[in-house]
Amino acid sequence: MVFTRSMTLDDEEFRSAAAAAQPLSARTTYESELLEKLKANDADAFDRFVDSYSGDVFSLLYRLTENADDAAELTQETFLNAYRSIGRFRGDSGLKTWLFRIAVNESRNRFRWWKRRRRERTISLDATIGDSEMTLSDVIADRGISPEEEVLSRERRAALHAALLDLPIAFREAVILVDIEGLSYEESAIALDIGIGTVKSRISRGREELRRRLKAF
Amino acid sequence: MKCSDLKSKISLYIDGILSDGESRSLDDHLSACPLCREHVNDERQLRRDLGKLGRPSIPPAVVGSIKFALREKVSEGRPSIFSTTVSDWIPMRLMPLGVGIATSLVIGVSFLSMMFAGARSAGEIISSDRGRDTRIMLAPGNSDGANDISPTEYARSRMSVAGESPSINPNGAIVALTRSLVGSRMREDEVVVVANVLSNGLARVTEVVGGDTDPKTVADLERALQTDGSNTPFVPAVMDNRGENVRVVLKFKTVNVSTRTAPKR
Ligand SMILES: [Zn+2]
Repeated sequence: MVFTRSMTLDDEEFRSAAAAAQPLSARTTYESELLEKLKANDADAFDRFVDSYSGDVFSLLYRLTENADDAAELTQETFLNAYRSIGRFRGDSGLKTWLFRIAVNESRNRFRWWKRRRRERTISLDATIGDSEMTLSDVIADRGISPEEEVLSRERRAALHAALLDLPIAFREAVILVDIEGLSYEESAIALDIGIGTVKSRISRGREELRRRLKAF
Repeated sequence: MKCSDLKSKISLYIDGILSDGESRSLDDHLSACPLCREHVNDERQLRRDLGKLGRPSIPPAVVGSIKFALREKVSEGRPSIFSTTVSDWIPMRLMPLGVGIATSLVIGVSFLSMMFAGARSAGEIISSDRGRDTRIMLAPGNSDGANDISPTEYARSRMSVAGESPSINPNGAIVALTRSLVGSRMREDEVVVVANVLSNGLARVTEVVGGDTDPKTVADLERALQTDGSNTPFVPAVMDNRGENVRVVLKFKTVNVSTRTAPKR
């Protein structure tokens, strides 16, 4: 599997710039217009749907599964599942939050399966990915950071990564959604299908556990 | 206030979702308690670093594969012109009344995605005449719906058969209607009407074949056949060298056709 970092970085930059430039109401209009076309089974709209959200869904699933192939497969499953259930979606949340909820479910199912299959799996940050020359640490290298911002040291990143991987799944889900994917507590509650109070406690406990683990490194 | 009571509130404090009152009392405590201050600083740093972990990017091949899988689904649900293998089209069949199918003129109007049209320019009509069997392939039009081929050119191209069966105006209302049917899925599998094509290119429905045809579809069809100006459904009789009044059978049918075997020019 080959990762074309520079290309999607541009996409990402473009998207975040576009999102920043758009007032909230315009985004909502864009979404509701897209949703309407998706419900009408419009092929073009589904292309747009994938273009707009597959990067976010993949990123989330990569963090949740820590495996590029699993993430790719589950991203596809998420979109196929979304296709099947779009008719029942009433637009109570944003499309992205709704997709994240499906993705979280897909990863939970996979995780249960995976736990049965393989008791343990260790990941080396220096192992190359697929046929590529890239290592996992290359792939998860910093994104969307302006040059003047401090870049995480390799050691710090490896430590964070390992600590995150070691976190109980319920805490990890919450921390990934809020601290890495940048969802609000409300959106995370929807995506995780739990109450907002539970999100609050999981974030608090999750960060606490992370800090404890990082101190041990 | 005890430090242990505040522990669970620090995350919410950092994320700025504590109430003003709670936030103020935590501020007060922090100014007096170095331990909790350190906790806050630590967690702030952690949160910043998590944000910098970066997000792996999706391989373009995965995006392509998802789009492909969805297109397949969309075309199963409602056969779509954008499917890569099977495209839904609604051919329009035009037969001189009283002439058997074997000798009748067949006009198919199909809409091909530009993706598969390759070098063809947008809105181009590809027509192939094999004796009396005429097929028109309409690539999806420009936004204004105009086609590159003019009515005159088109009529001239089928001069040998036009006497029996009127030429459809490539920029006309009947083509536009067929195009809209492709987008909205016909309720019936087949709509068949008998129509009188007049010398000015307009036409009138004289009979609807089959009792259960949706009245709205018939109304749409009648409106299209009565559209005048430069969008008349058929070319004027003089262009076709045809008679004053020609009766035809108009047939719209939903079929699937593979775009790979689409007729070439
Ligand atoms: Zn304290």
